[in-house]
Amino acid sequence: MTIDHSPHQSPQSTVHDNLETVFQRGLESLVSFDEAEFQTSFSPWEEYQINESIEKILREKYPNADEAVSRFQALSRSLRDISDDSDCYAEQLLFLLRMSEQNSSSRFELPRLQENEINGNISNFEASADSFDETYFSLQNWSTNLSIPQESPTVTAYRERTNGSSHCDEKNSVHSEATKTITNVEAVLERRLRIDGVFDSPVQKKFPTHHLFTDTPITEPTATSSRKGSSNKATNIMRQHVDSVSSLEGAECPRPSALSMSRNSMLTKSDDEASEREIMKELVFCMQGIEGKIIKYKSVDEGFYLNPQIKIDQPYMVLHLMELGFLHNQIKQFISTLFADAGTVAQGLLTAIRREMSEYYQAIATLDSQLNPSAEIADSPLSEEECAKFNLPTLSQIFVWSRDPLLKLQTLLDVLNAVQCKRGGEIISDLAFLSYHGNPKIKKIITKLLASAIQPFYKQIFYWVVNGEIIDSRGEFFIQMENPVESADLKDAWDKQYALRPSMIPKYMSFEEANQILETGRCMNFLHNICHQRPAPTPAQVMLSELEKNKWSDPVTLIKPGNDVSALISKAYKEVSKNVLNTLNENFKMQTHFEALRKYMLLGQGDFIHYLLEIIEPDLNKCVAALHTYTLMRSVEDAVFKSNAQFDDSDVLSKLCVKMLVTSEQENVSEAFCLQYRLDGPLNTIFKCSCVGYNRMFTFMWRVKRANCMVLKMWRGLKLLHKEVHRLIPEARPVFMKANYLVMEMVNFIGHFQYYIASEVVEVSWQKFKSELEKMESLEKVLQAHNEFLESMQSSCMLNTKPGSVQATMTWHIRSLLDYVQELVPIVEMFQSLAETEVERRKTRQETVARAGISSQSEHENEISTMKFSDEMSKVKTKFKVLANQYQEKLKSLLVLFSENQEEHDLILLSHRIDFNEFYKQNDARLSDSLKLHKRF
Amino acid sequence: MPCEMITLQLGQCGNQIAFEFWKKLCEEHAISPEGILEPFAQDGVDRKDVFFYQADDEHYIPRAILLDLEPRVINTIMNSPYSKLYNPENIYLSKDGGGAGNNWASGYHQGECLQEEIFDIIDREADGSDSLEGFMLCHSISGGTGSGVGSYLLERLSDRYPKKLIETYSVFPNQDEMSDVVVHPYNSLLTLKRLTVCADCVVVLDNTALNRIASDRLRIQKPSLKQINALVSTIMSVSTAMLRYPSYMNNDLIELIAPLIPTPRLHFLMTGYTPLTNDQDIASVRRTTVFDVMKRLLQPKNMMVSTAHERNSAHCYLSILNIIQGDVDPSQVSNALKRIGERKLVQWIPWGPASIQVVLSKKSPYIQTAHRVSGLMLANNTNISSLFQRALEQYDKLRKREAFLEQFRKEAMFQDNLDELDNSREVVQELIEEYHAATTKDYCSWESKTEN
Repeated sequence: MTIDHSPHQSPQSTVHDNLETVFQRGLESLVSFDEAEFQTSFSPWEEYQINESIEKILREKYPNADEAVSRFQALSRSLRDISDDSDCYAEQLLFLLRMSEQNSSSRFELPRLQENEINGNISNFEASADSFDETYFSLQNWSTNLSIPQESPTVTAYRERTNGSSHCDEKNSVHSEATKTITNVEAVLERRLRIDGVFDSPVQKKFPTHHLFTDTPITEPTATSSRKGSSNKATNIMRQHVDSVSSLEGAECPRPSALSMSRNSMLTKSDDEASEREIMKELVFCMQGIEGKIIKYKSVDEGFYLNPQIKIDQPYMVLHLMELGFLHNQIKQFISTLFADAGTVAQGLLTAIRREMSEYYQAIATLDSQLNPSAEIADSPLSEEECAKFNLPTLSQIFVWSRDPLLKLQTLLDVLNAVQCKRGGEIISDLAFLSYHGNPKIKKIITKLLASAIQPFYKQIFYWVVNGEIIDSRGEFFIQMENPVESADLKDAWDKQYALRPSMIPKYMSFEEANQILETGRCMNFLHNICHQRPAPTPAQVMLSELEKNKWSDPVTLIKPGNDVSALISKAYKEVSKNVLNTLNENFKMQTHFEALRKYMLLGQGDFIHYLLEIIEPDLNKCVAALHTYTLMRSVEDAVFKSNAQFDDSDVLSKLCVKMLVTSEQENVSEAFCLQYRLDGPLNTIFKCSCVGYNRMFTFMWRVKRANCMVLKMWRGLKLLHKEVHRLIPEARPVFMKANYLVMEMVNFIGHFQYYIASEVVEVSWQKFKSELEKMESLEKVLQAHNEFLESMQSSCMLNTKPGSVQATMTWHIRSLLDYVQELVPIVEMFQSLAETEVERRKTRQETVARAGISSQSEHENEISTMKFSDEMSKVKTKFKVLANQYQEKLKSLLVLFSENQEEHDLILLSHRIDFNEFYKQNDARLSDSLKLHKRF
Repeated sequence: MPCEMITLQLGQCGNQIAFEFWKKLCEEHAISPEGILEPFAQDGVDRKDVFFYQADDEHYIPRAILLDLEPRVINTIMNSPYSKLYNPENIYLSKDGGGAGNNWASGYHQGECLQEEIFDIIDREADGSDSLEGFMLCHSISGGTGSGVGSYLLERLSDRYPKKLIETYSVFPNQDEMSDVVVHPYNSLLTLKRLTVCADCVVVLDNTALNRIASDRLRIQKPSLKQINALVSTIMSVSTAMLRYPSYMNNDLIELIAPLIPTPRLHFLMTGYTPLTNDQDIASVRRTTVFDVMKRLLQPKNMMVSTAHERNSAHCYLSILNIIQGDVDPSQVSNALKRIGERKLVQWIPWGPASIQVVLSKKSPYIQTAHRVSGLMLANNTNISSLFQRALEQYDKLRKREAFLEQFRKEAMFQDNLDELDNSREVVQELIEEYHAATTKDYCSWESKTEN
């Protein structure tokens, strides 16, 4: 996670910066260090140990230092490229560490970095214990550089020593120097303790100076100890160090002794024939991948072969045992090459494999010691009897002994083969698959590997589920952040931020379970980053974080379906989902806002819409450019104030605003007008995309509503006109009838259509959504239901049609019918004004006649006016007629479409209602045919 | 608030039914008889402002004007718990208190004399409303005050407020019992003319049918006026429910009545209500569905207008509006309508589209009812003309004998001649003819035909 929301961001970011510059400098100074030619070799494992420990330290000291870690990794990769020699590389890593100490001490606390170094070196101690020289060197090198400005004599001696002389000769002197170094370490540690203000007397005891470092499994990673409070951290580390060192006292390291054997190898028999003892000795080397005289080494892939010049008694047994050497080398190679960029799971697996290998080495060491019970017999050739006397193992015994190691190495190699080039969940999948093995021994080995590999994997899961953040520097977790979102633009944070990586989901885990995990973390992330809420962890989360901190006894049960942990996770999922919904409902009034959307965007608050329409009616025919949005906004406020909307939550009302969906400046306000309900905060994040749906519904319903208003206005106008027309202009009655009839038809259609939208589409969908909402358990479900709600309304209103479909034609027809309403308005108005003028004229004339009687001139004028009026009337009548015909044609076609549409039962019912008395049906052949057809089916 | 309605309650009958109406509205809006809103009803679900306004002290006051020429009924109201509900300035009692003597002409004349004072009140109320939707007139057509003053006000209102709707709840006299008003045929006819010409919508409340329903359906031996009025108030409150509870559709009166009144003059509506129960036998009401309610609404016995049911008559519906209240699944409505359509339970006009419009109305949350679903039907049926026909016949009977005309001749309007009566007869006759014409296919060309 690169986004850090803790308030103490700045000190950590300087730490990042510091480390970065430190690493850069380290890189620069590498060139000079390249000159150092050390013969000592770091095995790839040790390399990894160092890598790992540095990383671990970085991570533990700075929980948010992922970036630094990944930079470090990148740097270390480039380091490797620069120096072919892996020894140098390891050396440079240590150098880097040192550099970091020197450079940053001036800027931030010295103790912390010292501690890092101590940790790092102690890890090295443990990690590279089987080649103690190297570790020793690194430790010594470190202490030299830290406390002694000049290169110490130790290093000089070491250099000399490494320039050719045998290890054995120098062994003692090196030991004494090691003692010195450790005293140095001790001094540093003491200083460290003083800094911390803790002075623990038992730890002050002198380090044992005579001990040997030997192959030890890493019993306790430094990570564990460093977590226990910082004040006694150093103490712990020291104690642990003392423990690990002293517990191994007396144990013998196989490798130095083997080395000494090889240097002193003596052949008792002739060159042609090898004794069993010799073969056995060579076999011990071979098992560790070392070439001898008899057993020759060819390559990693082809392994060892027997020297053809030397005769061997039981070649098949030897050949069989040589397989161990081959396997050993193969495994070593795998480890060094395949996991170059390994993730935490692979590292977990490697740790386990390394542990297995250590056991293997230990077994060889035991074998070796059995072969060499004492120094004096090791140097002289022994006969069979002597062997028996010293109870030395025979080749056949070794052959029997080799069964278990062989099985182990074979299994390890199988596993390595299976998981090569794989990462994260893929490895777990494979291991889980392999762990179902019939052979209990193999099963046991793989189970051990699985147990080690699965822990980092579950740590990732737990961290994600509890904190909603991904710890995954290597991209191996099955949840990934797709679009890293800037905190300013949170709009996509719900929809697009996180996704599953299907390939990384372990096979034993169901997709549902993986999805649950994704959702849980996503919800946590949502709560933290978008709602800015930090609810107390739920009971399941508490249990999970407990699990994360401690090891659990039997990790292998995790791969069984329905295990405790997956039950816990699904419990956490439920709890977190509930939490999110509660937060949205309680803190962000989700329910209220849904109601508000229904009221305002779906025109549920009828009185408000009615009034709004009345207020802005005069503005609706202006073009968009001529009107300011704020004028409309004022109208909206007015309408709120005058309607029951005023009783609504002020929070709700503040979200109302007006938007012009403009395509061109010349467009009419009536086309572009759209009410908006501006959600903000977390609700906007999740419901942003539904805005389009609401806009569509609003525009559509608004248009119908407006047409309805126009029709009612015409109805009212005609009703007012009727009295006078009826009395005074009898000849206009047919025109009136025509107009009235058309209006009547429109009232009928729009009434039913509005009822269909309001009751059968919106209300039915809303009720369904509402009842679902009450049962909802997760936000994702709410979103889904909400989308369905919008979708179903739009499709019932035929708003999301494909071009060319029947629905599209219906939409088109409905649109035209509503347009005809608009066209009728000016004609009716013209008719009204003509009729009113004529009524006035006739009234005046009646008065004149009553007062002054009839004159021929006035009679003539009257005739002309009457003629003119009836001309006008016939024109108006024609207009009515034309429009009426068009309207009826369209309506009938629409009814045909409705009744032919077999899928949408509601539309058939709607057509029934519009033509309830079958008036259109009886007057139209198409309709009666289609209805007949309909009935027959 | 937009769409306010001002109620004018005239005469004995008008005041009585309106009194019951206001009682009902107060109950539905949880307003106490003193006009104080109950504390549990502050949530703004309903629109109280359509029929009430709030005084300075937040009391709700009905937008009502009480008018009578004799004090009896208004005094009863003023002695009831609701006395403080009304604005005392809106109560107008004639000074002499003599009443109109059941004489239309006297009422009309007195209305003319009082018009200034009355319109002072009306104008004040109209000014007090934000966007007045119209007037609601409650009266009887046969008495003196309701019919006479009512007729006068109708004429004046449509002059003075031509853009406002005038809806009347007009009580037609009981034909089954001998009326104590001997001149009621004259009164009715004269009022009918004004209802035809001046009103936009007349809800006919037929005392004959109401009494019949009370005794037959509710099994009340001798239905009291109060029980009848309870029926009427139910009709009035349900038919205004849409205005009081906002929803997507039908938020104003015009939207409600426009589909009911396809042609301007045929604006006389009959009503039906179901389930009809009195308080005693609520338990006997069975579970109701939308289909049941709609079907029962179409049965003549539930109709609150007593019309002759000639099976073979050509009478037909011009339009029907069903206001359904209660626990209704909106998706049931369509299916119920389809079934009704298929059964061809009713006859429709042959000259144009006609249908049952359905309105799902909210119900007062403060009143518990025993019925799951209830329905009010407002219907425009040509059959209503038989009521006018009967009135016409009764008028003709009296007129032939020139009976009781001297009372009319006392008033200015009839001093010289009885033209007004003849003219009214003509208008009513024409109305009846138009209703008959509406049952035929060529109604659309009827008007032009009559001209020729």
